[in-house]
Amino acid sequence: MTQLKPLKPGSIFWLIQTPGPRTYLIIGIASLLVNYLIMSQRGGELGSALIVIVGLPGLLAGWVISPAMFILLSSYLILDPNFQSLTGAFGGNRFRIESGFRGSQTPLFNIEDVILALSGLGFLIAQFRLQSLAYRSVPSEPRIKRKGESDAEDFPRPANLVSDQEIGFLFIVGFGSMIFGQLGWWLLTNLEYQFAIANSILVHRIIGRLLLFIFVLGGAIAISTTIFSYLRWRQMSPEEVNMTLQETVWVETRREQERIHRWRRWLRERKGINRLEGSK
Amino acid sequence: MLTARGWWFLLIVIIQIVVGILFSDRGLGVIAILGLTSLGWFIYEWCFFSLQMRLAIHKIRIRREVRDGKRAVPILWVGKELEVHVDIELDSQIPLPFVIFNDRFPSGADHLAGNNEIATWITNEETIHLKYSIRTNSPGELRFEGVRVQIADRQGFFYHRKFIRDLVTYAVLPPLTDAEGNRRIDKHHNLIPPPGIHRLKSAGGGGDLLDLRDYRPGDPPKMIAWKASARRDRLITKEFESDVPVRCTLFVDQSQSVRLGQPKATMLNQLTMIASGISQAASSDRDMVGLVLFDEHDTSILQPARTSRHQIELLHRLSDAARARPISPQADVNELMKIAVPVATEIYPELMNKQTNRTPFRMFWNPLLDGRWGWFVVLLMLLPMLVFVPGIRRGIQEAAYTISGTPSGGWYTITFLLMLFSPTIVGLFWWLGHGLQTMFAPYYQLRDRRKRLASLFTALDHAPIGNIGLLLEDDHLFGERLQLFLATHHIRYPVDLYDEKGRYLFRSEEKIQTLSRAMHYVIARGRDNELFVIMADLIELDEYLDPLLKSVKVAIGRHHQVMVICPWMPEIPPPSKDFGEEPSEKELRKQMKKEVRRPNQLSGQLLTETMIRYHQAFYRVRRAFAKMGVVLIRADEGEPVRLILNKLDRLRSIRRRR
Repeated sequence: MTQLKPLKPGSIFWLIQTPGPRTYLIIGIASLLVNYLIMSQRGGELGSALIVIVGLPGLLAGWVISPAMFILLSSYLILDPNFQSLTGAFGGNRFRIESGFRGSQTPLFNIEDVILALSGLGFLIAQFRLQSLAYRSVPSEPRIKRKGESDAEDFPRPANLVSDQEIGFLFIVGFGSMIFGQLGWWLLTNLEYQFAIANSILVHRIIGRLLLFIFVLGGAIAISTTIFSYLRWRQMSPEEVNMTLQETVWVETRREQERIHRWRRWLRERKGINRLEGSK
Repeated sequence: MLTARGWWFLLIVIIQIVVGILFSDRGLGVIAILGLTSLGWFIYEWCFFSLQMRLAIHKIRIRREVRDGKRAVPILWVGKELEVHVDIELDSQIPLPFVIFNDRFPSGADHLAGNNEIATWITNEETIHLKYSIRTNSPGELRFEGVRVQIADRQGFFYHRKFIRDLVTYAVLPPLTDAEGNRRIDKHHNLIPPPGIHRLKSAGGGGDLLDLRDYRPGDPPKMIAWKASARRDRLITKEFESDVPVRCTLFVDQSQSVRLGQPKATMLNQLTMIASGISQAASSDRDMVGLVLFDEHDTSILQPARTSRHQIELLHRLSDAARARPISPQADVNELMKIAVPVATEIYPELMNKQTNRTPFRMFWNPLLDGRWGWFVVLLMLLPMLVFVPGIRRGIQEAAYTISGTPSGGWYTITFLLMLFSPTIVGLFWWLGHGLQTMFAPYYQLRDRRKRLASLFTALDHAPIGNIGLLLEDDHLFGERLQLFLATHHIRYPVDLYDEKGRYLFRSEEKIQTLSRAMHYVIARGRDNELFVIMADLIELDEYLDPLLKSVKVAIGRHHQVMVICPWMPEIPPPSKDFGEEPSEKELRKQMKKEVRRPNQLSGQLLTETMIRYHQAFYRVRRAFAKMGVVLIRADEGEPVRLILNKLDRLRSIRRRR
């Protein structure tokens, strides 16, 4: 009986035949199609086709740049569907972004926006997880290779680790993130009225929103970092604690230590020179 | 924690949100919503990963066993095939969805089958099992440091590495097979006493009659030879031969010079293998074997005995000796750091982490005032005070007038001040340049690495804090500590053999003194004609052999036998048999020309000269011992174990009176 050669991770056949990656491939392609439909409905047939063109190689061939291009391109196409402003600018007109077709307000939980957000997120999750499965999942670190150790630098996540539970949980996380996005936006627009920053004469409304975003994000990062730092301290091993205390003392006495030992070195070198001269 | 992929994603998402906010006034806030959705997902992954990192990874437990067949073994033997089993468990409710376990492979063993690395998930309900086979290749120690754990999220945004130190060391004893292979199988003469016994012609409690003598009061009546007494008409007593065991003492050199070379092929390895072979073969013949390990300063003595417990103890001592690595008194610190930093980062990641092991930026400022020329800067700074000397002030004023063209006014003042403070400005620039020089490559990296290693060594040694400063400034001490660190972790490192004046750093005359003292000690406690086997690297020490030769003379004077086994440097070809016992320089040159690959190039010529010098040194040492009738053989020549066993056999049959 002949044994089948294992498929190379990242190849088309591997993507199609291996259950885990296949699921992500389907999610990714479906997300791209939904994204295409929504974007074309917003009046950008050409642009939405371009998003599909950028996104597909990311899923099929592992283009690293694909997710970044997807995010930037889809953001731009919301501002300028079909590149009208851009082509106009090349034609000599002033580059100008028109207002959205729904007016100046962005309604919350608008079904179209919700589907767009979900499809975008679906593509990104599928793309990044496929990259991890097919190529590199952990960064390479400098280490001394020893005899008997594998030379593998790229360590992809094994495809058999993709479970049904993971896929099911992905949908929950996707919906949760979508709700986070909507509520985040609501919070951002609501808080500006609460604190009357946006209506202030001194601060422009947009700047007010930006400041709020920075404050909220910074605050959240500060709080979570504090919690995780506290957890880190609690989990410290005796060696780490010893090292932390040692470093504290060292930082305080560093200059004195260096000075003393520098002079000691000078004395030793001097003695060495004297000894050599004496031996002559 | 955040990988490059994660950073890029976060950056682009934040750009998207900011763009969304900027155009939110025109009803295009959906861009920000898209960004916030992605950010929400990112934050979720971050929180989940942080929980794994902070709460779960510390609760990984490891259990390791080295099995010979189905049985776990505490001691290993060279050349044995063994299986390493590692069980990994997670004692936390938080699962790790993607984790890579890598059991750090020990040096001193060859990998045969299986994998020491696995990428998997782990929960508290299952045990991950790693299994691989190894074969030990040299005596010494097998050191299992622990398991490297790498966790990442499913997207590759976050990554964390931890090393779970679970240090287990196994003594690797020299092989047992040699003992069987080297057992005495050829019998030269028939009239030999039973194994473990040899005849000595002094009165004792043996079985064979030695002599008859007149009765002395106190002699036991059962010793009276009644027939002889009746014939001579006076009481005659029988005297019997004394049966004493053959004793052999092995003097094994474990000084720095024999530790040089590749781990499998050091001269120390040659010696320990021979010593182990002799001791096992001799004890299987019920002969007593003792061991003296010596280096430049110390001696460790194991009195001769023949029990199996003694045998195991002897093998343990040999195995301990074999694990020693060379420490050069002079080392290239920067080269060693290149090797030590990845090792330290791999094994002690939390102690090398910049959060714990800090290198503050101000540490890289190199203060000029601590340097030799610091006083000169102070002098330059103080030079403007000379303005109070009227003559100098007048000189500067005149120079300022000449340059500016006016005796007063703005230009004149500026020129005057510039001329006055020019030494200060020069001094300031000097101070600044000197201070900044260690803030750039390559000084920055070197200093950073050195500081972190110095802190690590201080923490590992539980040394006082001042040790960090000492290691930062003292190259000699730091070099030795680096070598010790690498040797402890069984990492190969370059060893400097010669100092800057071309002197060989590993020629130790002290070991001759130590060996000589040890020999005197053993001779003083020796019973009768014993065999002393000196296994030491004496080549190139012929000028310093006198104390040893005197000790050998004493041993011979006390009717002991002495043999010398000299290890041979593996890189140097052994003497050819085509040119007789002691070839001339011309013949040696002819032989080396065949051995060296490019004899006409400078490197080839140097190699040829080194080899010739080595051979000549060997012949000189051999001649010195031959003058006293002591045989000197090379460790790689013939079968030294068999030769020594034959010598023991001859000793067994020697009949001489003291």
